[in-house]
Amino acid sequence: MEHIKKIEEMLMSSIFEVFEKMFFVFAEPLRGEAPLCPLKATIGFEGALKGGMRISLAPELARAMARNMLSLEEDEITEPIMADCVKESINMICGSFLRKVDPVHGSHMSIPTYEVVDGGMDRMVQGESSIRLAFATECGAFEIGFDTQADRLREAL
Amino acid sequence: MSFNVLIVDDSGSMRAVIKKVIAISGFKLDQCFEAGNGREALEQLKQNWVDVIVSDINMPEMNGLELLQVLKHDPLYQNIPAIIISTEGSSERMSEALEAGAKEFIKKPFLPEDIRRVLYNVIGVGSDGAYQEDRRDADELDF
Repeated sequence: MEHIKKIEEMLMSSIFEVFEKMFFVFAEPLRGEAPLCPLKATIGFEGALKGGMRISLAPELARAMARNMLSLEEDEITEPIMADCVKESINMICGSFLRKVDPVHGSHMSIPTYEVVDGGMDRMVQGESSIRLAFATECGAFEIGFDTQADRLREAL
Repeated sequence: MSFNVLIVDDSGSMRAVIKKVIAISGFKLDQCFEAGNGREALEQLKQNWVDVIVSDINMPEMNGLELLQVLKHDPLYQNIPAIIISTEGSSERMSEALEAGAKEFIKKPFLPEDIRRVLYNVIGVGSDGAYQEDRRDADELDF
């Protein structure tokens, strides 16, 4: 499982970079599971690795991300702006992560999709080729899920 | 001397951030046009004079690389400097963008300083209209 540890470190580095640089939000890894979070964005990728990545987060956190990134007043933050910020977060995390896995060859990334899941998103699973990372912030929790093909993961590393 | 900028990104939030960064970087921004993809960018170019284009790559309908190819082969637009701002920052993708005509490449997530530095390189003119070679302290400006 050494390769999973390596991937986790790269993913964590990308998550911190994006949240701190673009959203001015500081995250701390959670040992247990994050509370079920209803806002979800997903992106697919294909290159050295093929798979998908998703983020689920609390509405309060999405609101804080929009407020911080765009310097908005509370009454200026709308649902579409929050959705846009959530999609952009997974887009940047995925891009930054793929650059770390393979800095030379390009990967194709899909356009991120967004949805609000009633009652919170299903728990993400962790396995040989999938990773789930949970974080706490001052404005609420979030989870990042990553799935790929195990053989390509070993080859890429 | 002021500039017209066209920002091309399918994320309205990202367009707003880039616009804000350019505005506070000290450039005399005249007009800032926006487009959600390459096709919309071409429509904007038909209607407006643009001094510099700042474009994402990964967009629906027409992506940033396809946009660069169209601009490169159109005598009307081939001299407009284009800057790519994208999450897709592998050396392969950067080479593709530069070969397609991009002047500079910025990786997301970016710092405001990254955009300011690249704009100075591409436009070559500072906020007060002086050419960059006359501005020895350009990098020391308060942001």
